[in-house]
Amino acid sequence: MEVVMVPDSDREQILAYLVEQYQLELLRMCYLYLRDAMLAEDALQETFIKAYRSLESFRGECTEKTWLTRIAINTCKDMQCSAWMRHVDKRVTPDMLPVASVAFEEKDEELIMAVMQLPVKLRETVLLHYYQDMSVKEIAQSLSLTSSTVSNRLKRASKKLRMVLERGHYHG
Amino acid sequence: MDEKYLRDRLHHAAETRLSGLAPDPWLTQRVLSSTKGEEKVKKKLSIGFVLVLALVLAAMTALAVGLSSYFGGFAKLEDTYGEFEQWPNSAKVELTQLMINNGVLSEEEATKWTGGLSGPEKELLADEILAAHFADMTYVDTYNAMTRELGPIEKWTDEERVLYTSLLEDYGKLTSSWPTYMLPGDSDLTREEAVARGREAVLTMFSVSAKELDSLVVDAIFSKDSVTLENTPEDEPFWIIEFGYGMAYRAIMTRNGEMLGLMGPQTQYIPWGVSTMGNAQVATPSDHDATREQAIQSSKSSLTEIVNLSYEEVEAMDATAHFFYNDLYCYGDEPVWLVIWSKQGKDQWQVLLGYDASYLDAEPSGKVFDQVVRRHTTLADIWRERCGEIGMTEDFRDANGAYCFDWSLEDKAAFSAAWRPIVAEYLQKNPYAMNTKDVMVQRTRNIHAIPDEKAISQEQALAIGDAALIEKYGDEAIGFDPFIFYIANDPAKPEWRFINVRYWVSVDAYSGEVLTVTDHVEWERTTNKLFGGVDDFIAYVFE
Repeated sequence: MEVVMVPDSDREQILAYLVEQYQLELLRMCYLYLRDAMLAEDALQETFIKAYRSLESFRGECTEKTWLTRIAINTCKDMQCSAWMRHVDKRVTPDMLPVASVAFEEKDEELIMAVMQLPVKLRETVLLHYYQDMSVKEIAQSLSLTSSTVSNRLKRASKKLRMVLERGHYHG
Repeated sequence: MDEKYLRDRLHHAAETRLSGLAPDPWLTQRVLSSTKGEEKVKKKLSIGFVLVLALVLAAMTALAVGLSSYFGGFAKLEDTYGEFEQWPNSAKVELTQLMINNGVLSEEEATKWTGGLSGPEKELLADEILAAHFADMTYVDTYNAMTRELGPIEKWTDEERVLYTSLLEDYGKLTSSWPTYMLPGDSDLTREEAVARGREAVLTMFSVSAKELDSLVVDAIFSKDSVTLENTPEDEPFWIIEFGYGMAYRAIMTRNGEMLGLMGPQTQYIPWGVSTMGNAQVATPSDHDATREQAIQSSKSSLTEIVNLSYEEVEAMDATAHFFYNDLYCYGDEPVWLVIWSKQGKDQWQVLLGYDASYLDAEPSGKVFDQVVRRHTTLADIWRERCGEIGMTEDFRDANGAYCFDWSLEDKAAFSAAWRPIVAEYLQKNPYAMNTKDVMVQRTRNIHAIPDEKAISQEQALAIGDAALIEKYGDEAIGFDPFIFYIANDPAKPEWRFINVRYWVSVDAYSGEVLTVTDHVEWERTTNKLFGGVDDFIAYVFE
């Protein structure tokens, strides 16, 4: 369902649809970005608040997923800059991850940890490209970067993640 | 490994490992409520937080209501707008009003504010007032706003610390890097009592004078998670009394004042009641250790030259010497000599020496040692000083930033050639360096070399190794992308070694015969070594 025109009467229905479709994916992305479940929930709520307020401005120039992802990433970046983050323990250890409700392989945890331990600039490009399937061009537009910068960051990040998948440990 | 694989893998990892992140069935409603002018709906407070807040509110005698309102308001603005420098003018106006309402600003500033100003004028004035008020702060945030009004945190009352903890928790910022401060209850020691008891314990067990100890800044922390030591309670708060910035001395006790342990400037944690020899593992001196007589002579010199006892005083005492390992001294990596000097059967002095009879510390009987590490140059010190000679950095990276596992064969060979002799010479002079599992010792264990003309090429060797892996482990081993080594521990039988976190393959460099095909599970089982991750496995091969 593409959001183009937003009749007043349908706004709430559209919101409900967007939340149902993208909440979980965006929550996970926010968590990987912010490395904190409560902050991720706050960021998620803020994302949908912003999206709801700007439904009318969305003109279908991209998919709604890309649109929401951009809002979410910018929200996460704002929270990342918050002074409170200075008091956040920047170390990430497996026991800080939420308890999984399904079985997972050790490699899954290692990959998640590796993403969370990436420097934030690499982390955001990984999340946008490999998790949210955005193209280099879309990412460049979203982050106000050149395509070559995005490509370089992706190259560096994917090298580190490949090392984890192949060797199981990041020596970065 | 292509892009699709990485993408699929990341999706799979998020779906499984983060499956505990659950969607919120009420999110839509909360968003709608927020955008309809209602206050942003916060998550329900945890019961623990509610109780803490109730206690804080009930104990407001120590903290002016106005200040708590100011701090809470500041925290809320910070949560909304982020870094102070990025606050919009409206937020600064709101903060200024808050400060005036709660008596934080001076009368003069408050008078200026209420002079019938227009909106833009107020914004300008707010900027000016706040810039002046926070001028001496390098960073403006809630914590620093609190220290501005209350002083450094060691001067805060328990209620003020709990308030800060509650503000962190309220905005989802409380993490393991910050203690969960709590309020002592009626049956707990008061802060004053805990400080007094900690002071007494430190003065009893360490040689520090009362004058020196009392000159240090003191802080008392009542929390349940500020530190985890071997005998600290798990789910109850306890007291930590810290003397001195950098925590020169620490006294840890239960909420009721039962001593748990102490720490000195250089010591490990010393559980209360552990004797000087503690859990000693008695040893027998060998050729590279000082003899008993040397130890006694060295301790005698220490008592006269460092402790300044007279020769006659020392001669009037008897010495007994003990040689042992103890985790409290030299991290348990080296044995130590402990020489106890007694007079008429009563212990007077104790001297702690290294295995080589070098002086560590001397204390009157009954005191604990606070200098417990032998002073010497380590291999790490030598590496830091000389790593540039082979073009490497202190953290084992080459000029391109590649970590040692990824160095070229030439660089690995140069490292071996340069550092095996240095390490061998060091070990001769420092026999216990092996116990420290020093990384330089590990990394010079194998001889890295450059393939000669008789060796098969790296590509050939890798192809052989690859095939052997797939034959043994099947499809799982496809895509093997290893670290590469050429090891010539036996010059007549050099080998190519390929290893990553899962697999290790060795191929005879001359004949192409497969020497080893294993994975970390099998390796762990056959070597009885615990697999601690890639470092252990690769370290064993590389190092």
